[in-house]
Amino acid sequence: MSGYTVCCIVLAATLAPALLLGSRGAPVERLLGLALVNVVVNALMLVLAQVQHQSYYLAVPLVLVPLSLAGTLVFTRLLGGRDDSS
Amino acid sequence: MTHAIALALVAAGCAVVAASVVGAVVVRGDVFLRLHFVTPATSLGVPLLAVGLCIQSGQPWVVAEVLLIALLLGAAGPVLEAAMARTAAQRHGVIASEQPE
Repeated sequence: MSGYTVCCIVLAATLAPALLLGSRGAPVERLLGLALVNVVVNALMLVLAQVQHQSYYLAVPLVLVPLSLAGTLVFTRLLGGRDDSS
Repeated sequence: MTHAIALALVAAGCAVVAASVVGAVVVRGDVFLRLHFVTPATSLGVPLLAVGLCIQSGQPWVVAEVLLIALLLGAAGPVLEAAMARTAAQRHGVIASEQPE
């Protein structure tokens, strides 16, 4: 098992707490969890492309980063101004 | 030697990303405190990881793509954090709900 595989496993394991944060709490905290899931998935795909020696895996984060930015900004716009967390 | 440096950079980047996520989950406090944990992951963790992968790969096309991804993520991180902080401040009544003119 190479060091890159270990890094891949660590990042995959990190998805669990990020998903946990994204599934409970106030709406903005869930949005924060979603942003962290995006970061972890992007990092995971970068390392996975190295582990598998498949450079076309890099297309996923290349598309995911702008989409996640736009999606999160839409969510912040929709969540702003209302307080229904309590 | 190059392989060891690349692996060390990738491992450091993974450690920073993992520590940021775990810190955001574990920390006690409001959402404003948790928001601080996004920045290390996007501004330090992913660039470290990208530099390590660039050193390891060495292929110009892969290097350009990885650096572009790291640059986009590094630019998107602070934007998202500011937007989420603004939304949280609106929801907590710290600032008005109206959008700036």
